[in-house]
Amino acid sequence: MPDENFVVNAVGRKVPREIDGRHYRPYAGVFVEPPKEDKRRVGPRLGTILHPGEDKLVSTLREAIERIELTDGMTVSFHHHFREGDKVLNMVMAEIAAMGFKNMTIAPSSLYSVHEPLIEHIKNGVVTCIEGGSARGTVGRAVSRGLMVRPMIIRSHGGRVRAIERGDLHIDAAFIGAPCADTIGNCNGVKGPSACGPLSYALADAIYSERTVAITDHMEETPVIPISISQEFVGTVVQVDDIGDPSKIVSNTLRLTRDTVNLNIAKNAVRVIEASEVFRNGIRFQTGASGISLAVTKFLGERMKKRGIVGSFGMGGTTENMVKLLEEGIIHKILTVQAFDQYAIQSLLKDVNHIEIGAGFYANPHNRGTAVNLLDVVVLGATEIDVNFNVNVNTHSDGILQYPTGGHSDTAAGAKLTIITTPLIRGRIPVVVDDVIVISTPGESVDVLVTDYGIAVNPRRQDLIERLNAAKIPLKSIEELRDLAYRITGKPRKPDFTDKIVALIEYRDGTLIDVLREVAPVR
Amino acid sequence: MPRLRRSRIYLPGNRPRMIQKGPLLGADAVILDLEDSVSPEEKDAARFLVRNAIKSLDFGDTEVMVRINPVTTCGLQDLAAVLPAGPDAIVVPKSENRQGVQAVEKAIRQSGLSKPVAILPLIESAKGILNAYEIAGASPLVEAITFGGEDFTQDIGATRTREGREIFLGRSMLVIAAKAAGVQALDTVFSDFTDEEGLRNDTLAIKQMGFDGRAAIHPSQIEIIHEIFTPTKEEIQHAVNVLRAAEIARCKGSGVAVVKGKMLDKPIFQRAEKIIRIAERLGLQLPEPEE
Amino acid sequence: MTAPRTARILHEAKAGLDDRGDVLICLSPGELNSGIQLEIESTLMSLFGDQIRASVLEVVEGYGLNDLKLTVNDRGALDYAIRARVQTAIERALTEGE
Repeated sequence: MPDENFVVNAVGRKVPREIDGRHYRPYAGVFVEPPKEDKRRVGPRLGTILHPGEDKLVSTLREAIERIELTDGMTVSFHHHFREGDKVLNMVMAEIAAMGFKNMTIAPSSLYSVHEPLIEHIKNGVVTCIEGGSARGTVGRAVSRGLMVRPMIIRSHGGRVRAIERGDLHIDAAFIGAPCADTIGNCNGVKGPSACGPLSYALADAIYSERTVAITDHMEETPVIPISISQEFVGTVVQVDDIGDPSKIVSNTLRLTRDTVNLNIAKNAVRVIEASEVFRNGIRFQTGASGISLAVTKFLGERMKKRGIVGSFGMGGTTENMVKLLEEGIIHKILTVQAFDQYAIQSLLKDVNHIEIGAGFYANPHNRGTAVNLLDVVVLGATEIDVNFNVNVNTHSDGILQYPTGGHSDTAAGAKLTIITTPLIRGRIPVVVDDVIVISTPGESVDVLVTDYGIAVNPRRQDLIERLNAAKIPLKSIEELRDLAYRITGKPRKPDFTDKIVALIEYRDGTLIDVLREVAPVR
Repeated sequence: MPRLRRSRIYLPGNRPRMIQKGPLLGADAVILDLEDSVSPEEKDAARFLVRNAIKSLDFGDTEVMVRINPVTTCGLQDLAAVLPAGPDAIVVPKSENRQGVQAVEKAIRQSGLSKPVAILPLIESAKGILNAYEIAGASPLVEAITFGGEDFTQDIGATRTREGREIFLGRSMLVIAAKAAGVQALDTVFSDFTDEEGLRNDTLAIKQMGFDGRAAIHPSQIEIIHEIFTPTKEEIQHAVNVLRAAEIARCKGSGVAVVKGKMLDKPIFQRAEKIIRIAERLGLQLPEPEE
Repeated sequence: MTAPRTARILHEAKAGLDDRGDVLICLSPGELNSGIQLEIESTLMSLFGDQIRASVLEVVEGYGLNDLKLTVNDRGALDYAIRARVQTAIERALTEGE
């Protein structure tokens, strides 16, 4: 690709202006107003019009695919609320392949290692493009090793909805795994054997796609209650035996980390929160489901209780830990975009103050308001972070694509205080480095790094540094942490890449923040 | 003043991942173990690993100790391997008399190290307890004697309990011997690491008995152990008051100082001085004396 | 200063544990004039392969050894541990009657 096509963006990465038929503006900053002509939403065609006494039920998946008149080259989408327990994507793609379709683009909100069969579909030309959140396991490895001709698009939760609403991601057919549905297409995710909680990642798909098929393994009397996705947006309903494996959809036993060192990281993160200006009544926070995150939620709750602070809401990635805070009155509400355990699902179903929010409400930067903008504090992870506080969450240090951006760049942008918690070193791999392999979240939106070897604050936040100094929280510079890491592990070589671009990392506003290249075979 | 040894924790000397956690645990001391946690076939491997670890890893303020094997087995080989790396202290297990300590002292002096190395005899038998005073005084390098409660209990045919009645006398004798010899007394582990309340009670009890610290069997115990062995605000305030009163009495030429109606004498001054020294070591703020 | 490369190990030897953060070393005598044959396997090849190779060879050369086969199966061991395990394997391989 000619060099003139590349431009250096605001985080110092060279990105192409045009690639694979797409035109991109380079990343220019966390909150850049989009050009006027981009400020429009697209609208899908109206398909099925139902008359009294009719319904949308068909008996087989094949029938559904025939009914929606799927053709070669179309874009089909899926949500990832079932995580490793998902059966929908594989089931639908197997049928699409069996029916002889080719050149499809798939737009899953994220991919898991259970989606390994995609590799065969890619090899057979059934799938030629992936517009998604990332790819775990063998699919991610295969993409990094150059399996596909066309580059994969990686978007955050908010960025995906933005792209759908703007028309950058034009979905021809959305296949929505619905744990509970009725014959005219109302859906929810809180009932049925494959209950997953909210259907947040599927909402925009349902509203904006040209065709929507609800696939369920549990039908209830019309209309189902609650209604997460309305019948207004669903054209076809099909019932199958299983849409997911419940044991892998949710965990019954999300484990708080027992490791003393990780617990100390969590405790220090809470110390930082407590010393900051956001620790007051009405605090609004988001944590996650990792071992350290669960501990942060627990310790934060304890400190809030001790200091008599009541929070406005918790947001997530919701777990039992978070729900317990709601039950104890330490927070008023929970906004859920994904549920990680049964406890969270039951709470969503029964508690009036626990609500489901769509991914757009959650994080779409180009709408009239998002929940992430309300956040006081978010606690996130990282695979790598560089001395400018830029964070990589998409690849390991070996350059292999493995993880989604998810809500990382969205929450980091919106929250007043963004904290990254991570061990300084993983095995022999330094987490704090000179340069990250890819930038998923720009350093401008990251405030504090808490590791087991020390805490570093982004120099942009002098106000925070003063507060932490006053609270006698010892700080190091991020360069010190990097030096410490390299001293222990040795400074690693950068992995070798070829020139071929295998993934485009879109920032949430649709600009290009980085590209990922093919990993060269090891000599 | 000798180092603070409120807590110490054993790390198996043949497991790199465990050794590497050492600097992160926040203990006053880590003990890289070549004895009980290393199988006989791996003693050689552990020696090289521990030696290299001491040379290359940065343990920060944490004291780095090595528990060698008894000198009657391969302890001298252990010393030959690890001393050149410059550990801070050597823990001598199964100490029953002065000979073991003196053999270790000899090896240390012969190694020609410029950096001081302390000796910490580990007393874990009936005989050892009876000879504790002799062991504590066997070398000027001995800075503390430590109690191995589990082995001791086995040796005297007792049963280990939560309350620790069976080791009470052993503990007490160790404290008496240590203080008579002018060295620190360090206690054994509290094995049930899920029993936080039990750990607190036991640690409080041994602090009151005169121990200067104890071993942790699990990293989660370290914070609680430090909490109990760290002087409280009240203790520090009282110590500051005591020393001020002593100063006033000295200036006045009067022999007797009084604080809160109580007459003070030498042991109380010494205790107050010790508390202030510990507080300073820990970087705690010293308050102004109260009127 | 490296010792002249004339020493030979007496027999096969192994060192290291099958554990995260450790490295498995297998040493065996090679044919005359076969030199030092080094095979490294590591999950971190692209990042640390060169450094692992250099450290292993340095320890071997320090003993002045030649004509041996060395396989290194690394599971993310730090440099000090790699060197310690290599040295352990060599010492074992040089010890009579193992």
